[in-house]
Amino acid sequence: MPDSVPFIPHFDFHEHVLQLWSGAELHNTVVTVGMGFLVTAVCGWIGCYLILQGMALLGDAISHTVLLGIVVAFLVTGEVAGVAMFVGATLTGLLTTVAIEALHSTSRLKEDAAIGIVFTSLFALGVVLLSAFAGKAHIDTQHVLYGNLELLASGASLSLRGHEIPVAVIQMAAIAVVVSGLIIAFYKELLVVSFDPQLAASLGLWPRLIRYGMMAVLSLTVVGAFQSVGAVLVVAMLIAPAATAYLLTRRLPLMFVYSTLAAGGSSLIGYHLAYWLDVSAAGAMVSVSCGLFGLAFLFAPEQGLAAGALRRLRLRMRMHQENILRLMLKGDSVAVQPRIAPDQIAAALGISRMAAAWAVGMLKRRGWIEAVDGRAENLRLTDRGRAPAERLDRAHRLWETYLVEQVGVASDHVHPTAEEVEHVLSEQLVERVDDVLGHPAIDPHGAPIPRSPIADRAPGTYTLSKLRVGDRARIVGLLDAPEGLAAALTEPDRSVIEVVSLGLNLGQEVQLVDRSQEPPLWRLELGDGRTLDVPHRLADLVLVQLIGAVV
Amino acid sequence: MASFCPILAAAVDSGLWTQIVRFWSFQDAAVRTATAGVLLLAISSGTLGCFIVLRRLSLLGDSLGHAVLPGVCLGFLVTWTKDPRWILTGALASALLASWLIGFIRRHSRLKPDVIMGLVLSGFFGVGTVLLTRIQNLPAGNQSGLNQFLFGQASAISEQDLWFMGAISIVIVGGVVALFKELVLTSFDEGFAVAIGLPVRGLHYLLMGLTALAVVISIQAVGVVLVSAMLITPAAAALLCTDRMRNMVLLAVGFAVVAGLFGLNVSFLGKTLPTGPFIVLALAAFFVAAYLFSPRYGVAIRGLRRWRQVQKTERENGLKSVFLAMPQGSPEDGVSIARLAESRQESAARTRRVVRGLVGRGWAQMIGETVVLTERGQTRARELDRNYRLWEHFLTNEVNLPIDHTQRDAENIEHILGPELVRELGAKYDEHHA
Repeated sequence: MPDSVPFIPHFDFHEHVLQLWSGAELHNTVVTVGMGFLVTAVCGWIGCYLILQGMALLGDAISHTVLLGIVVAFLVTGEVAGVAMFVGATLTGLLTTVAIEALHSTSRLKEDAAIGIVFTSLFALGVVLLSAFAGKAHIDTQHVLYGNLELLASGASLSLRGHEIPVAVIQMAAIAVVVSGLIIAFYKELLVVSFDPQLAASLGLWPRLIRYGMMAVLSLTVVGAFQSVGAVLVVAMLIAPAATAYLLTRRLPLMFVYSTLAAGGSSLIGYHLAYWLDVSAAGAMVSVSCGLFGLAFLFAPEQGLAAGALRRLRLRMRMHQENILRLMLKGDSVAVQPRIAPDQIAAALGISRMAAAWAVGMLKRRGWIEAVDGRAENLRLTDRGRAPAERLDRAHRLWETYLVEQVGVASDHVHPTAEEVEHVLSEQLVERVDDVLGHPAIDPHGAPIPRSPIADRAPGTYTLSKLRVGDRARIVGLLDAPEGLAAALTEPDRSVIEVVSLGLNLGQEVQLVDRSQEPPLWRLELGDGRTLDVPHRLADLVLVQLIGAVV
Repeated sequence: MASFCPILAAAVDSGLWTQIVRFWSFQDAAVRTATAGVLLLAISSGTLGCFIVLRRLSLLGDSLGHAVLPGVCLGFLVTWTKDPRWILTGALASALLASWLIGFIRRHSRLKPDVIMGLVLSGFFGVGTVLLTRIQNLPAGNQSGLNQFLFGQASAISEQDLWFMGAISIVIVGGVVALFKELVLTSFDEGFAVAIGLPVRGLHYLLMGLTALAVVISIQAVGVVLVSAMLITPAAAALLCTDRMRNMVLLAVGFAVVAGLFGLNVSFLGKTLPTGPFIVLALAAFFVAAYLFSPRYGVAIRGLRRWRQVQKTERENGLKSVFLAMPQGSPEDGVSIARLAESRQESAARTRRVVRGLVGRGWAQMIGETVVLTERGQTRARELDRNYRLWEHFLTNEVNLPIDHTQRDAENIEHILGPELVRELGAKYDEHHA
């Protein structure tokens, strides 16, 4: 470092922030931050549509080629201002759009190559013309790329109620009014074109015309912003605030709000950053803008990287807990006094001790497992923990059965899949699988599948279809028909009549003696020695209280 | 000579001509170095560009081009000189970081790739701008010459740069040549490439890495903003000229080399003019030429071909109308323009024009106001008539079109039936036609 000036100067809050908002600096600050905000906000609004319509690169291309229009307008009129410049730039914007479309529709080039060729060529032409006449145009070739926001306050200005406001700011404000007016006026049309171009075309909205209109407006905006932020940085202003907003919400009006906020934040912070480091203000604003995008990318509530990681972490933790429950349920069925230590759990599940300890802690807090005699290595399942453990075991075994019987997977291949699926199967889906399989009692490996009791009923209440051979039970009622179905029935529920006509009575004791019939029939032995065959559909409707279970 | 060509005369007067001669004689060491540099980068980008264009990665080249700016500035900061070792290292690191970031954001958000590329492109450029202006606003960085990296300045290529460029070019061209078959296959049929076990992902990353290298050696001469044109434009022009990958690569390299030398020459003449835009303009000229006049895919050539076909059809229809209007049995009597115009249902002037075309072709002669077909004209007319009838047969017998629907289709196709097809149709229908 050959200098006495440090590369990163000392930051002084008073000098680099507060002082800029008072005294002589105030005017400059307001003008520069205001211009930065106007440009970024307007670009952000257009950017929202560019992103939604997949036209971000067209925006990129136009912001480069507009230079050609500006230079040509200068060569014709001799000034870098006024109507001619706007007309020239808008025409170049449209020329760019048309040229790109023509190139990729009449040749074998894809759109990306067409965009690349058109914008580099037209931009190069602009730069060549500019460098040939550089002395007269007062546009530095370097500033073509990143503008010169610092010079704004010293440029031509108009006096408005005693305030000197630079012409460029007034122009940009006018553009902002035009753009927001157009967005409000054509909100519905733009919405349809952005989200469903086919629908838009069928409604006669002329998506193509709207596209050209947008490109014209974009060119207009780029011209307004050109001298302040240049051709390349304006691309960032088109994309970054809109992309930030896109990650924060899925609603278009909110996208406008968020992108405007991002524009405000980036111009304000960027200005102070530029003043502190003595660098290009537009460059600093763009850097902050992209930094804000980075924050949204990492921390957006739903779509952010952190949120996603957190979701995955939660899922993993839940899976650990559920695996522990099933592990302990398995222990219950083989040992008289099952006890397990956290280290054994970690080893059995192949997870770290820390993850195991954490999951055990969670399970304890829920009261699903407990440490016998307060000793941490003597863990066992509580009665409350048994229900969720059985529910998981049931999901696992039913899924295995389903894979073997319905999908035809070999029985020694189903375990790994079921291991993963058990955590994500919903209760309804498990019941549906159970029903489709005809309420099997054992899984393909010969292990019993736990029964699922009816929720909101006395413990031990099941449907008749869930009985295992040998079970004794008392008839306690009928399952309510699903609400929608009941409402749709105008005649008395036929199933109820059928059940009643079977000859089953409330309070009657029955025993399931056979389930091997095809099609599936539940053969019951009634108290008086008679037998009765109940078909699957009706067995699903009859509620029983289990009084003597075989398993 | 001067009197014939005032512009050239002015050029000679102002010493422009001597300058051009001086450039092309390569007597200056600086010109030799710059030329060698431009040749190297043209060969590298031309080669690589073909794969970039075919795989629709054009905008990746653009993104990487803009994205090297912060790396260039950081490289400069290491020694506060334009030491190529650090500048190239910084640029490469920056480009690789950008391409990794593009992939990373793509995997972890619902943003579309074009948005991500635009974002990375402009974001890196924004940071680069901050660094660049910081360096330039410091006393020591004032004359850094870093802004030459924006639009390129080939004369700034030093001998030391050249060694690095040469080494990198060898890596790029060597890599492409060694893996040519694999790269071509993955570019055209990725599914098949995966199926036969090619490391498609690996090849993709390799291509990205080589692209970053190509961008890095191009920025000195072409500049970060326009470097993508060096990759895309020559390859796109070549794509419009040929269907063979090998030829495409050779053509693209040729375009890039010629355009590079042109840009260098202009920049040399203008002293301070940036090189990049001129190279890009020369490339654009090649592209426009290929777009319009490529023998196979040129828009103008195709238009011309269509126009010729229309002309031919009109002429042959004219010939047939004369043939059919002639009195049966005595064709040498010919037919008058007036009667011909009546049978063709058009003005005599128009008919006269058509007949003039036939005369020019040697198919007819004008004797006073009477048109008489020559021997050749009669032969061709009979041929056309036969084609027409054969096709009509084909349409009624094979395609089962009703007889009153065949006429229009047959009328159009008689002009384009090839001799082989006619022979085949003839063999099929002649005996029962006779």
